[in-house]
Amino acid sequence: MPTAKTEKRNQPASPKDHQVRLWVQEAKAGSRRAFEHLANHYYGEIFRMIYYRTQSRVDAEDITQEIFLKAYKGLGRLTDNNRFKGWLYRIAINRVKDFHRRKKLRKLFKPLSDDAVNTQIDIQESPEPGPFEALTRKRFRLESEKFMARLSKTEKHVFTLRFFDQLAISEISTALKKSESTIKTHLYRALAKFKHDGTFRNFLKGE
Amino acid sequence: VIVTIARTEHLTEAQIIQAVVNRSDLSDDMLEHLATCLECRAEETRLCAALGQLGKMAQASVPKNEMRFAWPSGQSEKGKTGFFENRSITRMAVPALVLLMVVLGTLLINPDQKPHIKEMALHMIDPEQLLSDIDNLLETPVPPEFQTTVSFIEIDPEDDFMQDIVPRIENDPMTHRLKKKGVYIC
Repeated sequence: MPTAKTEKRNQPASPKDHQVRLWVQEAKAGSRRAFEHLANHYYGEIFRMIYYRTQSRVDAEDITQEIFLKAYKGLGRLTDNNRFKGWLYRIAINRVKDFHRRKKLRKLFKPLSDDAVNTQIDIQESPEPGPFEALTRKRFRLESEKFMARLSKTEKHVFTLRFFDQLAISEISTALKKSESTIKTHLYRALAKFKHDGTFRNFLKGE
Repeated sequence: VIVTIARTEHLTEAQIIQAVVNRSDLSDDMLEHLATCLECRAEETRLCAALGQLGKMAQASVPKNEMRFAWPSGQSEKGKTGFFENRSITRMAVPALVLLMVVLGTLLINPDQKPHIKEMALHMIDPEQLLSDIDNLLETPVPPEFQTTVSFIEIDPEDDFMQDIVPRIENDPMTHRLKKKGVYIC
């Protein structure tokens, strides 16, 4: 009787995965059209990922664009075409780190940082959500920040990549350049903390 | 006949978490228990639902994005980049150009250098000749008439000069002193 274990291992790649692999192959050969397909396929995901970590629409848009350009330039260095997504997220993680480093530096030299300006632009440009939605978003941000503060740095990275960005363990492993067993260990720890955080879980339930 | 022993105890919290992270990491008996035990399944479903809700709320917290990837204006096709756009070529060419300018500048400022360089070039040994000279030296390191002078064939070990270089054990103050038992000089 095939168990869930064997079933999962023998699972064939989805047609979408196959298409992505083809695009990667063609883009590596120099096809801009194939890269455009790839970029548009992952654009929303990467934008969301950046937004979670910057909380600025303008910055997220700029950084997303930069990430894809960087990916295009460095595509030749990608050895395994199947790992494109994880590799793309690695570029994104590094770019976010750069962003926060620069932001810290800017704060050191400027009393009024560009963030204030960015936030103003954000408010002007983003379509205004309803007051209830805005409140829920704000509370979600606060509650998730409170929960994340209880996690270690790696636990936070792994948890966010798994449950916010919906990455598979193998993709997280590529993105963070860590073994799958290490990723799982950090996930177990983070989930144990999540399971015991009644406030956050009740908030998620809408209580 | 394969006999499977039904697992009676429930999954631990760690095992429930393991099931949520990667179900295939659970052993077969645990998986079977999870498939039949309503309590454990409910626990797993609750945790999965909370995490699913977290993902949904996270997605909803992001403003809608209508932007798409766009090439920067003026970006040329990969592999057909302009000569000056190629950073590696520019990185190599700039120091080479600076070096060339320094050399030319030095020559222009100090014209006396010119005959000196010419002279050096004239006296330069033909590389092939230089290699054959080296080969000759390797085969016959020293001309035969000097062989006896530099070799130790005709050297008398009792000679005062040789005694200075390689003293006999009994004449060597250090070894002789160490051989003696009793009080050391220092």
